[in-house]
Amino acid sequence: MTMKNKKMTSKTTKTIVMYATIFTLSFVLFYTPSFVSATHGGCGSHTKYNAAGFITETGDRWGNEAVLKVNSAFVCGTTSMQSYSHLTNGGFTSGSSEGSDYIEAGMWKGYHGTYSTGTGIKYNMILQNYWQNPGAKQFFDLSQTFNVIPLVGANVKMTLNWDHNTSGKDYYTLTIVNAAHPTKVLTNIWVDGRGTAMTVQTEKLNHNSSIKGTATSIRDYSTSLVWSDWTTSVGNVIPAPPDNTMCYIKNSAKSYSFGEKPGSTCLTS
Amino acid sequence: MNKSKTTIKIGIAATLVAIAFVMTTVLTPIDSNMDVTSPGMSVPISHISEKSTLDKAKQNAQFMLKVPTKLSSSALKEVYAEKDGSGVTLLYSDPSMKSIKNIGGANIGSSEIILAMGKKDFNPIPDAMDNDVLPMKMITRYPNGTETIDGYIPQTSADFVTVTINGIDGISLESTSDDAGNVYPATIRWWDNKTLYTLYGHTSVQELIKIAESMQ
Repeated sequence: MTMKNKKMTSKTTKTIVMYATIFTLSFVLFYTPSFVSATHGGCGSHTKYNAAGFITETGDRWGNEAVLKVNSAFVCGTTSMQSYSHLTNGGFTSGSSEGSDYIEAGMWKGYHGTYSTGTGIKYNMILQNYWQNPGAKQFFDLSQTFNVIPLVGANVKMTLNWDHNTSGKDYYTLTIVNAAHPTKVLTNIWVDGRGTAMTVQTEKLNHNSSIKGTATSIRDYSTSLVWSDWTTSVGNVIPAPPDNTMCYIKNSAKSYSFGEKPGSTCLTS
Repeated sequence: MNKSKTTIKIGIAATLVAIAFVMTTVLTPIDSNMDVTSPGMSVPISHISEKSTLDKAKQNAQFMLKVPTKLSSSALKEVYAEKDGSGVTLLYSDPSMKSIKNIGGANIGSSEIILAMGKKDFNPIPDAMDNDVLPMKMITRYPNGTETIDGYIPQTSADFVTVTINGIDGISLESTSDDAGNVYPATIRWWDNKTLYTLYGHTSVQELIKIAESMQ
């Protein structure tokens, strides 16, 4: 090979490498938004995580009452990513033949569609009623509805109970008791059926979001029209650890703490 | 000459790093059927129901358990039965089914059909067609015992369309979506001989009716 040919070969190789580099880097840059939307730039995987403590008893359950307290709430993500964390008190309201209807109310931080809580936490309620819009969930900003906000660290008694049936439609009543403001009541909440399971739980979107808090004085309302303390309730985390770092501590039959378990300890404050 | 070699080495290294980056991040599969964004209670179906077999569910059922012959038995992936025999849910998965793209993720996969049935002593279909729903009432209760009504929030009933399944009136809703981008399945529901049947799927109502009419 002559010196001229060697120079030509070297130049060609450099050109190929340069174009390959440009092509590959362009590919990376072009697809980076896909990567960001999947992992949310430091927020971990874009997954819904849950930790719950709920009644193991089956059969009709007409209500659920607990004093909820958010110890801390952190949301990793932005509006478009719909990041959130919340602590709620809820009731699963029907059997499998009519779909999984429910009502839950609690305290929320983060985003849902165009809705945002900003830096604080707010009251919220989520309904799913298969007679109303099968499968669709209705989201309510109760802080806007009532013009009141909870604070981190506040004890808020939230009570949900089946209230009445009118024209074949089951209605619930929600009561929010917080020493910081007058009691707020929402009646005639249309939810199909009465409950078969009641729960207190935390939920978050994105791996690095977090919600820590407690649910105490938990009681449920039975068909005998009597409020009774939970007895044999158990906890649950979905999805299963170790991917899900959310955790719960069952303090007593009527008290659960929720938090994060980065190692072997469940941190709840 | 050394400068030229160094340039080539840097170029190759940059290319390899970039390719590795692409392979490990961009190409990581994401489960499109996962309910990734929708908030809402997470209660495992196993809490109220337990995994079962079709034969066992038929034995325990307190109602008329039927299965669709239009869906092959091999498409039946899971059976959940309520512990007291009052309800059964069958989960079918048929990749060949004409499906609607599920952009936002939902509880039902894009190729899945869910058939839920259970004991129901009265026919709830006429009440479901009644769109008269009470508005929610907002109340403030003060420490001195007085209370004020602060307003009302209207509630609406779904605009169900009547369908007929083997001569029996039922209701239907085409697939819907919410403002968060979640797509919800089409639904048909009917009541026959003290049993309430519901079919859900990311397909058309017409397709669900064909499946329903094949049930025996």
